[in-house]
Amino acid sequence: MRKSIDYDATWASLRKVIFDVLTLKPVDRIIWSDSISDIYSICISSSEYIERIYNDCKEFLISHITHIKKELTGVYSQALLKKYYEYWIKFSSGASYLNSMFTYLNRSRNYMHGSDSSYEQMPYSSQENEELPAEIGQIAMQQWQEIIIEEYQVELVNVLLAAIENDRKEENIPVADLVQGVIHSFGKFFYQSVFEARLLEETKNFYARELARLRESYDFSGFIKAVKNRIDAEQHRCQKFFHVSSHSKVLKACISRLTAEQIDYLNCECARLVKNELIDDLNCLYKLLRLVDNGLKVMLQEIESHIKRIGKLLVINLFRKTCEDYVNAMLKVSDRFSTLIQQAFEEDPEFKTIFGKAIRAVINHSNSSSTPIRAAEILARYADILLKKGSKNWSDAELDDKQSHVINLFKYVDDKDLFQKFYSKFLAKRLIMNGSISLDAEEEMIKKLKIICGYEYTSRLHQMFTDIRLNEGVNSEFSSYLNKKNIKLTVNFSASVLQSGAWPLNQTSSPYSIPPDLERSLTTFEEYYCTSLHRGRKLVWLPYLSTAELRMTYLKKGYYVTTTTYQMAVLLLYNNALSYTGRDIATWTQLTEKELIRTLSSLEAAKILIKENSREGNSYKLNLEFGNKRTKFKIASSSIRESPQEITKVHSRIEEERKLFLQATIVRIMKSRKVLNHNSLLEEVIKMSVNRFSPSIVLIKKCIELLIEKDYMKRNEGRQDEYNYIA
Amino acid sequence: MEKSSTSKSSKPAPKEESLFTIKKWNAVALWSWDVTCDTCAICKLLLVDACMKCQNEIKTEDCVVVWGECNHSFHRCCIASWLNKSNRCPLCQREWIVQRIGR
Repeated sequence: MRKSIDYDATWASLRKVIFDVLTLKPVDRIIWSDSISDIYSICISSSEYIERIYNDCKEFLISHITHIKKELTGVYSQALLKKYYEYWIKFSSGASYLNSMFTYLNRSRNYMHGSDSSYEQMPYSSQENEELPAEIGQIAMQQWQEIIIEEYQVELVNVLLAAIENDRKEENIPVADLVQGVIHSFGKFFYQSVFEARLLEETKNFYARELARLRESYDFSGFIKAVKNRIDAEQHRCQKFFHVSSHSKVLKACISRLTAEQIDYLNCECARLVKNELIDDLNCLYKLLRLVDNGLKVMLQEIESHIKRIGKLLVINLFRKTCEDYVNAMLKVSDRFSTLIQQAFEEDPEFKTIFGKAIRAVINHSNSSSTPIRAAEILARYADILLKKGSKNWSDAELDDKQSHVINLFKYVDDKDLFQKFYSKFLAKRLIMNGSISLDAEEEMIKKLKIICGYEYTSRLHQMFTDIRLNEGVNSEFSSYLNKKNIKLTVNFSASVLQSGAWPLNQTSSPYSIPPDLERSLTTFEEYYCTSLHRGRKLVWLPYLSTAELRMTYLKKGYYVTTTTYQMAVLLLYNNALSYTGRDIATWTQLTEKELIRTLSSLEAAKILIKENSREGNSYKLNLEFGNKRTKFKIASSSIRESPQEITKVHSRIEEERKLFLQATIVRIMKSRKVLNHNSLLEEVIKMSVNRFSPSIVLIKKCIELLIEKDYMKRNEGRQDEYNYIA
Repeated sequence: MEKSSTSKSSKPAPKEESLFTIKKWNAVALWSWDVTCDTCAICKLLLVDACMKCQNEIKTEDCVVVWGECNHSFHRCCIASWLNKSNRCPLCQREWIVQRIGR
C-alpha cells in the first residue's frame, strides 16, 4: 500500500533538518526519526521521487559548499589553513551524519541502478562489476573537492608544504591533526595527482639543503647520528601526516638524498670505523647503509678483511705456544668479533655469514705453505686435556662450557678428518689407560661432534665405547668360564678386547718372555674368547698397552706400581737376583733391542733400577733404597709417547685416505649423473666433502685423472669440459 | 704373538719371598676376523667393519663374516645377496658351502 505524499512540503521540512545536520546544530531525536521516516515515505512512493530528492539534496549540498567557499575568500596562508580545517571538520562530520540519515535513499538507489531494478532482488547480487551510484556522503565529498579544493588548491598546498617544512625544521611545529586533516580532505584523486608529487619534490629539495648543513656542522660520527635521527624523524612524520601509500616514497626520497647519494663518502669512512672497531658508530652506519639497496657490500668486505687480518696476526704470534694458549686466543678472537657482530650489526645474517667465513680463514690459516695447518691437531689435544683425568678440577658446568668452546671452533676447522684421527688416538689412550674423567663426559663430547658431522664421523669413536663397555661382561663371563672348567689362574687377570678396525693402535709389538704360569692366563683367555665366546675371531695381544699392578715387597713401605707388560717382564726377573747385566736381561726377556732400551730407561728414570757402567757393559741393579711419596704410582711408559714422525705419519695417511674418499665420491656422483661438466662435478664433490675436509681443486683434478686412467670415466669427445661415466 | 720357551732352570734360584708380586694384570688385545684377506671382495669394505648396506642402516652389530669351504670370507649380507644370482664363490667359482659363521 503506497500512500501518496506531498513532496514539496516534505522536502521543505527535510531541508531545514539537512542544514542543521550539516552545520552540526543539535537536532531533536524526534525530528531525526521523522526525517528518516519522511525519506522512507518518499522512497517507497515512487522512483521518480527518489531521483528528485536525490537531485534536490545534491543541489542543496552545492549551494551549502559554495557558501563555505565564499566564507573562505580573502583568507590566506596559516589563517586559511586553520579556517579551512575548521570548516572541513564540521562539514565532513556533518556529511557523514547526513549520509546515515539518507541510508534508505542510498539503498533504494543502489537497487534501482542494479542490473535488474526489481525490488525483490537480493542485495549485492549482481552489482559487482557495475559502479554503484554515489551515496549522499560521497556526493558531499565530491562536491567539496570540486568546489573548494578547485578554488584554493594552490594556496592550500603551498601552506601545507610550508607547514611540513616547519615541522622538519622543528620551528613553529604545526598541529598534526590540522595537517593530517587537511591532507585527508584532498581525496584520493587530488592527493595522488597533485599533492604527492609536490610533496616528494619538496622532500628532495629539503634534504638536499639539510645534507649540506649536516656535512658542514658535524664530524663523521656526529653526521651519521644526525642523519639517522633525520631518517627516524621522517619515518615518524610519515605516520603522523601522510597517507600510507606515500610513506615509502617520502622515506625513499629522504634516504636517497641523505645516504644513497652519499654512499662513497660513507663507505670511505667505513674502513676507519671498522679498523678501530667503533661499535656505536658502526651500528649507526649499519642502520643507514641497510636502508640503501646493496649498501652493505663494502662494509661486509671491510669486516671480513679486518677479522682475517687481526686473526691471522694472532695465529702467527701463537706459533709454538701450548694448545691451551692457542684455543684461548682463538676463542678470544671469535668472542671479540661475535660481540661486534651482535652489537654493531644486530646479528644480521649476512654479517654472521661473513663472520663465519673470516673465522674459518683464520682458524685454517697456516704461517707458510710448507707448515701444516695445526688447528685440527691442536683442538684434539685441547679436548684431550679437558677429558683426561687429573689435569684440572673443573665442575660439570665448566667442563660442558669448555667442550662447547671446542665445538664452536671445530665447526670452522677444514680438516675435520684430521681432527678425527687425532681425537681417536687420544681417546684410545684415555680409554685403555682408564684415564678419562668420566665416560659420561666423553660421550657428551662425541654427541656434540656427531651433531656437526653426522653418524659416520663418530661411528668408530662409538665403537670404542661399546668395546670398553662389552669388556666388563666379557671378563665376568670369563671368570665363570674358569670356575666351570675348574681352572685357577695364578694372577688376577682381566682382558680388554678391542675391535681392530675401530682403534687406531699399532699392531706390531716386540716379543717378550714372562713366567709360564702368567703366560697361561693369556692362552686360557684366548681359548675362551675365540672358541667359547666367539667364532672365527683371532686376537693380537698388545703388551705395550697392557698394564700390571705389582706389589714391591722389599722396601720399608709396601708400594704398588703400575707397569706395562714389558716393564713387568723385566721387574719379575729381580725376584731371582738383585742385579743383571743388560745382555742377560735381553736374553731372559726376549725384548727387541729398541723396546729393551725404552723399557730399561723408563725403569731407570723411575729410580727402581740403578744403572751401573762397567767394562763388560751396563748392568742394572735393583734400588733397595727406593722411596716414593705415594704408595700407588705408575711408571711413565715411553713407548706410547708420540714422536714427531708419528704426526707426519698421520698427515701422510690422511692424504691417502682423502684421495680414496675423493675417488669414491666422484664415482658415486658420476654413477648417478652419467654426464656432468667439470665445474658442476667440482661443486658437488666439494659439497659432499665439507664435513670431512675441504679438498683442493688440484687434488680433485688429480683424482679425476686417476679415475680416467682406471677407466671409470672419460672425457666427452665433443665437449672437453664434460665427463661421461663408464659403467 | 711370539713367546719364547727359554728354559727357566738356568735362571738363579728364586728367593723365599718374591720382591715383586703381581696384584692385577690387564692385557689388551685387538680382535679381528681370522681371515686370509681382510676386505670383503663383494663390497670392498673391511670385514671388521659392517658392510655398506648395514652401515647405512646403522645396524652394524649383526653384520658378521662367513667362511666358505674354500676358505674365502665375506660379509654375511654381501654373500647372501650374491647367492641369489649364483651359488658359487665369487672369488674361486667353487660351489659355495658355508664352513663357519662368525660370531
